Amino acid sequence: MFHDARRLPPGARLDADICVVGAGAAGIALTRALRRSGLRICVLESGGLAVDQASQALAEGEIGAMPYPPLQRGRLRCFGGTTGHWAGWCRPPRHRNFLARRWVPHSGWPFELDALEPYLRQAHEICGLGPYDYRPAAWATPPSREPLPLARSSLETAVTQFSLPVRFGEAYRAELEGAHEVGVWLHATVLDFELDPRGRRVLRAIAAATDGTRFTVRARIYVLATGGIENARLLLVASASRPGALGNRYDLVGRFFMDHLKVEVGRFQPVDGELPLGFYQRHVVRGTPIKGHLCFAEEVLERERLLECYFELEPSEDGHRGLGRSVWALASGQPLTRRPPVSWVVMLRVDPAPNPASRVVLGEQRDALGLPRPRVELRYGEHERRAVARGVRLLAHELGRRGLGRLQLGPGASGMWPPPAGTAVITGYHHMGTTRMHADPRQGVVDPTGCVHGMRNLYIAGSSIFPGYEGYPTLLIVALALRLGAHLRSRLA
Amino acid sequence: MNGRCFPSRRRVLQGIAAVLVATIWPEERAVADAAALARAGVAGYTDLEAARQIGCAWLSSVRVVPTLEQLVAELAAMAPAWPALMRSPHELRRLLAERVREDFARGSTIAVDGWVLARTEVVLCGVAARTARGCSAPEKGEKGEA
Repeated sequence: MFHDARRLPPGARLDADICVVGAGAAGIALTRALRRSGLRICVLESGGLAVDQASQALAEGEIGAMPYPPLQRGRLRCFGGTTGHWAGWCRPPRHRNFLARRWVPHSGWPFELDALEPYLRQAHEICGLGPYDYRPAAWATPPSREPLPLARSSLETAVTQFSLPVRFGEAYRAELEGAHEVGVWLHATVLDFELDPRGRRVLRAIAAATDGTRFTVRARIYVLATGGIENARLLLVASASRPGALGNRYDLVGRFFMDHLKVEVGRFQPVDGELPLGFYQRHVVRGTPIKGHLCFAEEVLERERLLECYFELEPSEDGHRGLGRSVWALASGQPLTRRPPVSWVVMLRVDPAPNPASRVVLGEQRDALGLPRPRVELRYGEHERRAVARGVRLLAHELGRRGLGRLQLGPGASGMWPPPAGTAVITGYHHMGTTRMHADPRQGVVDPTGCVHGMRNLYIAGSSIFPGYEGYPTLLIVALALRLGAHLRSRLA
Repeated sequence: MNGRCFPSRRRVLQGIAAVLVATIWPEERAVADAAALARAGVAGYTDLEAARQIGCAWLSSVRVVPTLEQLVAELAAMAPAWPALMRSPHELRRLLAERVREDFARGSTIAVDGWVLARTEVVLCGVAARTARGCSAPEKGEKGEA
């Protein structure tokens, strides 16, 4: 059932077994996972069924010294959340990303990736993806679209699948609308929590409709699923008057904020125009859109102590400027009078390391409901700078060694942040890490089940619990929400 | 290969042999025009004009500009067995390609206008530039450290 919180009388109280705050990918996946369990579920969504100006204005925030896109651009406040403008990129995490790397402080998850495998497969269907197969060879369509032959190379090909994409608000609206045990309250924004005297249990969620009408929700379990920035913001707001409460005993809430940097690092000139680089452009194989990326083999990343690097290739429209034609002639043994094959722009995405100095804090401005706006203080450090600078050179060396072509370094190859003016830079709108998961409350905000350390009935879902960066978070967000759903069903059975 | 003005393969091999022999055993063979011969040697590997352009760009960017003799000596040092290999253009090209691969494998590269090139091929280009007219790189002398 769907309801409009603006029609509630002031001071109204809603009752449920589970209160899910936020109806994006995590909230909707969790709610679906909890259906038919006999539990009454109350979903509070800050926006309406579609994006409206008043709700979206609540998504605005402040940006710190480092450049970052406006917060309302990367987040949608409506039923379905940010999946409303999701580009659909999906790939399961690599096993190594779940392991602690001794040279990356704070790295590693509290469980191995294998534990998530069944949930990832379910999430794959929910996200509307193709077969759960990420072996490059499985997607080869010779002769023009097949992975480069990279046996005994420091490089590998990774495959990304694209959802159509599934807009969760459209795809799952009818199902939740018809679910008698689910009540979805639109235009309902949580402002605070009322805690028991010991601060270990949430007694009520205090919420407001977009027009300011206050009401409360009483539930046995509360789950925050409002996104990588908003989850932290809400905990910071709620703990501001209760120092150390709500998972912030060790001043971790809001820290470890991560988003990737994708930088244009150069241009690749293949020796041979027949090189099958079409595999590395988005294309459709048996009905599934996919795209190949170049990345480093795990032993190379470990030996070089490099963060995960993914290279994307796009045909260059700039032609062969400067020495490009001469370099091709040199590398190919062809005369300068012949026309070289098309060159390719190389974009490098580095998955950042967990960094406590990179954080979301409360800003000075307030939104229309009186809450402090979030302020994003993104930081990249030496790990990220080195991954760009060293990674692109390793790529150039390997492409040259294998006789595939030559790479021209662009200004972005320096790894400096912010990059030089004129460098193409893309962030992912992937907000992660601000309520990170760790078994030790001194190192994480939530425990391995997703429950806030020190709290008995407050859980968090979504990318804010990721302790490490995952390039394309939606699949993992949904998988973790399904895992939390299984946990809550078991706990409340 | 651009066939407009390049010397024959025989001439190429003779050129390389002369330059290398002159470098390795200078007392045994006088070379009347080492520059022209070196240029011919480069032409056996790649398009001479392309090499000249890259070489000029490189020499214009380094702070210590190597002399032709230094460049040829570096080439010779890379492959002490060249005199024997130079009987075959195919072998010459194979050897240089192998050197280029080895340079990339061990990261022995030089960036010219941002292009990451193997040291061997850059040195070849430097020889081409040093022996060509119209390159703006200084003939000799220091512009600072490399």
